Amino acid sequence: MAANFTARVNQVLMQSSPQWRFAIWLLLMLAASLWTLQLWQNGARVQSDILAMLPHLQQDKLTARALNQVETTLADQIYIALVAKDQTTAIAAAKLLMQKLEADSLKPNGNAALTDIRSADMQYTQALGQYYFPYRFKLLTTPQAEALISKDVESLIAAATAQLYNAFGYANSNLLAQDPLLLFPANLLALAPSSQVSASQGILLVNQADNLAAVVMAKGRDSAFNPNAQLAQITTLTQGLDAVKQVYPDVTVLKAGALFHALAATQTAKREISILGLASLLGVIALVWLAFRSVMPLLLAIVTISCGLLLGVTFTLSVFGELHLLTLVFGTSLIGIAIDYSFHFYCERLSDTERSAKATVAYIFPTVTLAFITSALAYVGIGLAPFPGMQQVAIFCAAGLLGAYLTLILVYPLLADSRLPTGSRPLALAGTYLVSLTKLSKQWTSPLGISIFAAAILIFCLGGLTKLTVDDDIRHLQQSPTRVTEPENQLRQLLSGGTDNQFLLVRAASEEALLQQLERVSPLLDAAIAQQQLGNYVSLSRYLPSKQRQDTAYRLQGEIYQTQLDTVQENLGFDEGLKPELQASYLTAKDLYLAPADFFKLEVGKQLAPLWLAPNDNATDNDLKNNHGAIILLGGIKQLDALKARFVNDENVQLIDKVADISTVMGHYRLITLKLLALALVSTLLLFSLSFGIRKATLVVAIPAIAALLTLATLGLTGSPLSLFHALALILVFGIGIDYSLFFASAADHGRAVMMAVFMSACSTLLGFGLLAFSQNQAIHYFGLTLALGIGFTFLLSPLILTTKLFLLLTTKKP
Amino acid sequence: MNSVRTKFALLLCLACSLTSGPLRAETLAAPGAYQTLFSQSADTAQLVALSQRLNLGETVRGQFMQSRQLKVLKKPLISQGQFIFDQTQGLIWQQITPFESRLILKNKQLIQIDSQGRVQVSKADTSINAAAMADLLPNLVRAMLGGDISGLSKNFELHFLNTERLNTERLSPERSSAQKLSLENGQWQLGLTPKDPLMKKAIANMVLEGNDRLQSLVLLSAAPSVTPQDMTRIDFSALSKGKLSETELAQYAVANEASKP
Repeated sequence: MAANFTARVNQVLMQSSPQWRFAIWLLLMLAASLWTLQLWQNGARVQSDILAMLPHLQQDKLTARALNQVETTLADQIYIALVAKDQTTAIAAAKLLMQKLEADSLKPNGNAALTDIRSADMQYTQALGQYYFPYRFKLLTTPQAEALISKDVESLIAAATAQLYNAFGYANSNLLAQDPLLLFPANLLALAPSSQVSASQGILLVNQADNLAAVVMAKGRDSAFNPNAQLAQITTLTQGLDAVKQVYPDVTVLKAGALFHALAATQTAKREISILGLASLLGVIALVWLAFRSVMPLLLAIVTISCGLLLGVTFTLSVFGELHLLTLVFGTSLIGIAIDYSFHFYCERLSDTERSAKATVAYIFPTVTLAFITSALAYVGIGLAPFPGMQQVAIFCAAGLLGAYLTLILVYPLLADSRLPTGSRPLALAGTYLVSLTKLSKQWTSPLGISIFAAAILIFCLGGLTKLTVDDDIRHLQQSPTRVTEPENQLRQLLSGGTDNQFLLVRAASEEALLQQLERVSPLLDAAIAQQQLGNYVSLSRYLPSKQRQDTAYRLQGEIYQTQLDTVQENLGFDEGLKPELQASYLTAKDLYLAPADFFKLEVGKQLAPLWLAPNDNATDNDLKNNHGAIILLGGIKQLDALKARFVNDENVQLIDKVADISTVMGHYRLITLKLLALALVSTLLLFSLSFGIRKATLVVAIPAIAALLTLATLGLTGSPLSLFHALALILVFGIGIDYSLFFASAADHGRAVMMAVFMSACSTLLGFGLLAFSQNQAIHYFGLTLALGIGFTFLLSPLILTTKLFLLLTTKKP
Repeated sequence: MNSVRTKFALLLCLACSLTSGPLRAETLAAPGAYQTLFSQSADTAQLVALSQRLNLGETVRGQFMQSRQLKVLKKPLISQGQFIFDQTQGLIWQQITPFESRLILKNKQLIQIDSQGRVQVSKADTSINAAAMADLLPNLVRAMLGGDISGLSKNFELHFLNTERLNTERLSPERSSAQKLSLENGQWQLGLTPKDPLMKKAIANMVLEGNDRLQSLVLLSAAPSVTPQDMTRIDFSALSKGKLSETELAQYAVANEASKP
């Protein structure tokens, strides 16, 4: 049926003139170019965010919002440490850097790359003090509360007296008149997160061995993964750091932040696109020149590749509105694949020079069409994985193949009609190879030979497959170079662990319930810190006591203001006039509550606001509408499992570990992909049996299947753990490999031409995909390695179809 | 709490390192008495001469008498005690009356021992803000010790006044007898106004007074023209130089014990 259909299309094609076809092609390509241009001008862009490569997780809306919040808040932060021998230099260098960065951030056109430049915030305590002071009757530290619960006002009086005698203490008349037992300062101090950093002249300082590091922080205005913003940010920063280096040449710089990872990734990707792309292109040109010794095939090869790339870009931009840099790295492999049709065409021409280009196209049309469909299907299979990045690769490559295919059918009949130089040495070479292979296979096609051959493959496969391990950890896939990670680790250590990717999401039905939940979690985390499971945490609980806790503090302070104020007054020697005023303030404060909404208007509050997920009234989703959420940032996690175990049965608290979740999803899809491969094998078998009959179809499908098994076995033997990217590459191995066996299976008496075409195609594929094995990106490396192995095996095995076919013919004809 | 205590201790370091002569003064002058001082400015030559005149040793010990006058309190708070300052070991500030308390500042650690013998250890740099405030004072000490006046003027506005001729009539008889011994050096006041706004909030103005010895330290909570205001005066007496004795070293060792968790 399929054969009938292709035959009919072929007939229609043959009737149209080459000129007409060429005109249609020109029109198509022009339209594609214009469309792409228009998309580009309307804001399509190149994307380099590695996160965009990662799969979407299935998660509830609040978790998604929390993740998004944490990523956007943390991702644009930049940390710079200036390490110097002495404090004066460190501070001066940091001040100079801040001054340079600030000068840039005040650019008149509002196009500053970096904003929010800061070091130690000196106004912090003052602003906090002013905000919290009116609520002092609602605040108590734990020791203060304990003293009041046991009605032990004496100890509070003693502590206040000690403060009164301290000449440099905080006891002054102003404060005493409003807070006679000096309870407020301790509460204020409890708000300041303790850490190992200090500050001087507004600069954050950390000791590093014998040196001193001054830390400057900034925020990127746009995402560090947007190549333009990335460039602007790094330029501004480099200018600032250069200025510092000129004045203080001995200062060492440590940098940390997503920007530097993104930058390294972009640089690597750009380098690889140019090097791998160029190597691939040069290889293909050399191959064409060696084989055909003519200018026209070379030009047509370039036209074919260009059309492939054009359609690839057009389709990707149309579907995604952006082009991922990694897609382009993958896309370099298209050069090697798109050229296959061209090879196939010229090899046929070479073997039958009398036939016109139009007739040759008509002759290979069914095979090429089938090959295109299977390859495109293989790419679509890759696109089923939930990776936006991989989906782009799939669309890009499938569209690229379409471009090459259309070029073959529409352009070649007109332009490839020129005569090829005679002297078909490469064909003869291919013929000799095939003949010796046939001879060899004839020697081995005894039952004994076949069994030995099969046994060898079986042993190899078994040996390799049993050694095969799996590794789905995405941290192993996106490794930044040491020059990026080393300073970052040093800086993280300086800042006592920094913030980890994991965090806690606490949820509750109301604001008050949420604050109470946060109050419940803090002691659990303190315990985790005490047991060395955790380094630090940032919870809003420190800043926002629940109404319940505020009420308790208020009630307890009643002991001071309503029962024992006379004792306090007498013991401390206060002016009598203070008493009525103090009592009145206590009573007025009854209905005054610290509220999250007010707190987040403060400068300090604004910095912490991303941790608060208030219900979104506009949201249609019930989860977002009714649930209050809060994020607790975690830092310096030492025992993730122990920490997870603490909250495993807690329905209000969830430890969000995106890295682990993505890794799990990766593992899940690795399995699915391998199953998909098996399914593809079976369905291809069925499809081919319709055209070739079951025996031949089995043979055609068996070759890529065995090649896939051999690839897996080799991976096992070389100790390369299996990941989703290996599995995706195997799908492609199958998609391309089936072409080879298909070409051979339908070769009839054109064995030499097919051998040459397959040889050249395998070479070009290896030039395309195989080169990806040299990529520094682990994902691309795995992909390239698997393809190189798989295509290599398929190339070695597929001629066996021809020889075995002869054998089959012989054996079936005999009886 | 740390911040202020640390600051306290560090300022005492300064006071002690500048102090080496015996002198007593118990009267608490009104803040207005310093108005002339703060209207003067200090020139570098005067300050260099001053830092050279003060004979600063490695170790100094002595007694102090402190008088705090707070607006809201009916009576001034008077306390007395003794202190030891050693450049390598640190500072021990021991209040004896009206109740005992001890404060040891050593290796950036602040150890407080209250009247009940309860020990509280806090790292001087546990809080960004605490350390920021306390940071000005070691600079001050270092600047004065090294005669580095430019370092001093970086953090404070400085005012210098030679009070010899102006104020002799205000001195108590006791003080004027001491005065006679050092007439050629003259009586002086050094006024310090913190440039850091946070620091300024805590202590608006400081005055160091002395002749060839530092005699007292006065802290004002507002500009000298403001009355009433909170005011503290610390007078130093019975100062002596010389190496630390075994018993004194043992007191620092107590601090080591206490600082262990």
